Parts: sequence; structure tokens; C-alpha cells
Amino acid sequence: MLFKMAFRNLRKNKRRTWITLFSIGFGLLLAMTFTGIGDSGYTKMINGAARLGSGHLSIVPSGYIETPALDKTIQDTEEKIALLKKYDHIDACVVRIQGQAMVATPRDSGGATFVALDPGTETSDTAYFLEYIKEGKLFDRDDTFGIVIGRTMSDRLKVGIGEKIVYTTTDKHGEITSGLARVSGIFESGSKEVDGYFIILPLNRMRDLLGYNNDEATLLAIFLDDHHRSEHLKNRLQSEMNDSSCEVTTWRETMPDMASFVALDSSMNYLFQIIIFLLIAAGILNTILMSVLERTRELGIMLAIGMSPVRVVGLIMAEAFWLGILGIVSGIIITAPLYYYLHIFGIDFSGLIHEDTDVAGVVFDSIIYNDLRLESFLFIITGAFIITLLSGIYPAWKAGRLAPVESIKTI
Amino acid sequence: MKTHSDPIVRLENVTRHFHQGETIVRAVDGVDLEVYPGEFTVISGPSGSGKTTILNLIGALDDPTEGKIWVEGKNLSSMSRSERSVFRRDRIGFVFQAYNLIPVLTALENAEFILTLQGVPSSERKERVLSLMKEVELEGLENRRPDEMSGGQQQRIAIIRAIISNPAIVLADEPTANVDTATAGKILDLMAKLNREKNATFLFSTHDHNVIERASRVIRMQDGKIIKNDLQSAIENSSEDHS
Repeated sequence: MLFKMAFRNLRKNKRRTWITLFSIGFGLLLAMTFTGIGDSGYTKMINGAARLGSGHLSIVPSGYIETPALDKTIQDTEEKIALLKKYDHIDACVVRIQGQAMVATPRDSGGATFVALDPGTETSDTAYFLEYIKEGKLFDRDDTFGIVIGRTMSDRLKVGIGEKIVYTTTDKHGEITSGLARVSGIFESGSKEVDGYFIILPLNRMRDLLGYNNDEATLLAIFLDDHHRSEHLKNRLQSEMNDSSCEVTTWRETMPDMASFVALDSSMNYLFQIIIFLLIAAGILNTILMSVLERTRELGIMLAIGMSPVRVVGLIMAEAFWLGILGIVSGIIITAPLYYYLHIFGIDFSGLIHEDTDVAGVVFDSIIYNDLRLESFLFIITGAFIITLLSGIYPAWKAGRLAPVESIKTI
Repeated sequence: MKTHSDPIVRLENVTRHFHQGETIVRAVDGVDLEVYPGEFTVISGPSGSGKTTILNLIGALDDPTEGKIWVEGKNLSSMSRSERSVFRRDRIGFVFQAYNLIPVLTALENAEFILTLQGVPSSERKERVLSLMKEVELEGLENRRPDEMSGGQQQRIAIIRAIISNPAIVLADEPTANVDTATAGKILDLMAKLNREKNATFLFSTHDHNVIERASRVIRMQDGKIIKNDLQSAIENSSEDHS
């Protein structure tokens, strides 16, 4: 009975109800749009950063994160990869050696970060650079002398496709060692940091050069279908791997700059959402309180003829319940067309975002999409619903406290 | 005073004072009163004489400043807020001057409202209400909202709402004030019929002569005091009704 009466009460004052539902709906539109844009942007950046080297999850030697060094290695990489293949949500797993090197040509020299990878197992889904190769190509598996460098580095060293580069690093035993390579490809990601300092080398060649065996590397980079699963999967892998010589780390640990940026930016998003929800709450509180004050006599009569104060509270809370439900429905209806457009086409902000703006080496995509995660969607609508119910508490309490003898005198 | 049947309502030296600034208004001032089963009693008097205040006190809507009130032997002062709520729901019927139906409910839903609060099953509620609606010639208006009914029709629904749960007493505050004379007559006929046939006890607050003429007892109030109480006729009436 309470829910039926509550629904009819809302229907009785259509204009006020519509205005309230629109305000809830508009608030949800803002929350879902900005959160969805955040979700989309963070996912792209995190996936991009993961493809720069370490994956969403990494299996690295113990202590490698604190002090990365080429003498810290993991063994039995193939066995580990075979083990990882049985886990759900792992899209790819690749072997890599990462380290620091000096690169030199007859014209110039400089520092570099090298990523040694197996071209037979890598795609642009696992290696960020491959997506941006503008000249030449990635070296073949048989090509032990190939190297791929960034545009900025090629300009600085004044080398082009087919030309030689000498790279120098320290091997597993701390001895200085050098290798000769010919430029097989040049990538141009747009990030000065990536294009100026990253080089890609063949995995087997680097194993030979560094004195590693054929089943040894500095890390296994694991790529997930959803980066949000990384913490959960890390704990599972860590306990099931049972190998004290290595540890599992998430992208948050291997890319603290990116993690900090995402945390800060999403905090701003949460703050924005809290403000939106407070505005929604103020609107709903006003609507329900007005409704209670206008119906003082009616509520007083109900109390007088024997409706318990608890039921009167329940009646007002039922109105808040309906406002919440209908507000969420109106929010979804209002948001759907904009969401569809932003999800499919996005908005191009290339005029506002500088083309080489990047975070931790990953360039911002100038086209902004809305890709709201299910968890975010549920969080927003649950939050809106709870806020609506909370907004009903004070008016409901006030209604339950009405003195019938005074209320029935109210005109 | 003890008669052959115990009173439904007993007021003992009841006073109700209100503060208006520094002035104390003695709305009810030392009233003793008994109402017996089956009575059709009117409290009359000029505006401000304390009629409505007496009804509010008997209906557990208000508390006396002094004195005690018993309804069916229960001391109202000892009841908690929630106990009073249940007591009003189960033992008191209210008929107000301005009908006061719930605007969002239909005639049927308004009439069965108390039964719904009491948790009576839907089929039984409907059966009881439809039977009474037929008696008061409102058959076919079950699905009308209050704003789709005349004042007289609304007041008849309000009367059904008041008596549907067989309360100990029906308190009617100026029930004919907002309707024309013909409609008032019909409403009073209905109440008198319910009093006669169902032995429903009515206590009116009114200065409408049409109501006063039909009363089995008339209590006259002035300045918060009972200045005339034709009790003997009530006892006689009660005796006749129960014989």
C-alpha cells in the first residue's frame, strides 16, 4: 500500500516530479559521462604503458623493482609461460630483457633504454612501439643484427634504415659488452621520451651478448583482458607460483608515475561526482520536504486515524525510493544517446591537446571516448539511489514526528 | 456513577490549558463526562467552548493538562505514542468536518484504509466495504478519487472509513458543516441508522440544530465547562438499546 500511495503522490504533482527526475537524470549524465571518459582514458594509458615494457603484470627477479639490474634474472621462462597459459583473463605473456645501454654512431652517441623481445611472439597488442613504426619494420626472428629506434633518436644519431649503430651495456657478470646493429625500423609515437630513448633489440641476440642462457630473461610481461584484474591475479600467481627467486608485480609498481597520475585524476573525478551527488541530494531533499510540508494536514489525518508514525516514515521513504528508481531510469534514458555517440565516435580534442602530451611515455589520445565500465556504472547508479534514499530521511523523520492534533488544523 | 453498563468513555476532572503568549486559555476546564455504548451524543456550544478539544482528548490526539481519561477502561495517559496510534486505529472512528479523505486513494481504498492498516486480507476488506457502500448508496463509485465525488459522497466514504473496523466510539467533529442541508440530512440519517442497527456509539461536536435534534443526549459547553448534561436520557436510551 505504501509504495502504491507513494507512487501516486509523485504522479499527483507531475511537474515537480518531472523536474526532480530531470535533475537526477542530468546529474547521472554528468557522472556517467565524465567517469566513462576517465575509464576510457585510463584504460588506454595503462594499456599503452603496459605495452612499453612491463605488461599489466610482470614476473621479475626478487628485488628487481627496487634496483633493476641485468644480473638479476629469472630462469625457466618457457616453463613459466606454459604455467601462465592455464589462467583465465591472461591474453598474452612475453619474455623480455630490459636494461640501459649507450648507443653510438660515427656522428653522435647517447643513453638508451633497451627492450629486447622475441619478434615471433610480439604484436602491437604487446609492444607499444610496433604500432608506431613509420619507416622500415621490426626485425625478423632470424635477424640478430636488427634494431628499431625512435624518430628522435634517429635524428639525434643521424641514422636511417640500414645504417649501423653500436650499443654498449654491461653483461650478467658486470663486464662491459657491445653489439653492432643495423636500423631495421624507426617508430614515431609522438612521445619525446619514448622516441628519444627507447630501442628495441632481438631477444636471442641480447641473451648471447649478456651471457644469459636460452631460458633466462629479466622479466615476463603479462597482458590481461582487463587491467583492473591485476591485483587479484597478482596475489593468485604469487601464491601459486611458489618461487621465492622471483616476484609478481602489477603495473602500479612497475609504473609508479602512471599509477600516481591515474590515482590523482580519478580522485578529481570522484570529487566531481561527490559534488554532483550533493547537488542531486539537495534537489531531492527540497522536493520531498516541500511535498511533506504541503501535505501536513493529509499526513496529520493519516496519523490521527491510526497510521503509525513508522508507516508515515515508510510512506515518505517509499516516495524517495520511487524518485531514486525513476531518476535512475531517466538518467539512463538521457545518457544513452550521448553515451552511444561518445562510445562510437568520440570527440576530437586535437585542437586543445598538444600532440606530444604524454604521461610516463604514453601519448594522450586526442579523441576522447566514453567507455564506462560496468563497475563504474553500478557504482554511480547505486550511489545515486542511496543518495536519494538518504535525502528522504529528514523529510520522512519530520513527517513521522508530526503531531496529528496540530497537523489536522493546517490548511 | 454506575449504570447497568459501563461507560465507553470516562473523563474525570479533565482540563486542557493552552498558552497564548502570557495568557492561559482554558479550553477544557474541569470536565467530568461519561459516554455509554450505543449513545448518539452531541456536544454543542459556541465556537471556542472546548467541543473539539474534548473530542481530541477522547480520541487520544491530545493530552489533558490535568485529569484522567479512560476509553473502554484504558487510561489514555499511560499509553505510549505507538500504543495510542494502534488504539486510534482499532478503537476510535474519526469523521472530520472537511471529509479528509486521502486524495491519492480511490473511494474503495479510502473506505478500507483502516482495515488495510490492520492487515485484514484484501478480499475481506473489499467485501465489507462494498457491502457498506451499497448501504449508503455509493455503489459503483469504488474507483472514484475524492476530487471526483461530491461533498456528501466524500463524507459518506469518511463515515464508512470511521465505522468499518467496528470502533468503540465514532468521534464526529462538525460532520455536516461543509454540506448542504439535504446532504446533511442524508448523512445524519446514515449515522442514525448505523447507531440504531449496528449499535455504533457516536459523539458529535457541532452546533448544527439538525444534529442536535437527533441526539439522544446533548451536552452543552461554554468556556471549557459543561453547563448542561442531559445524562438521564442517555442512560434511558442506552437501557432501551440493550434491553
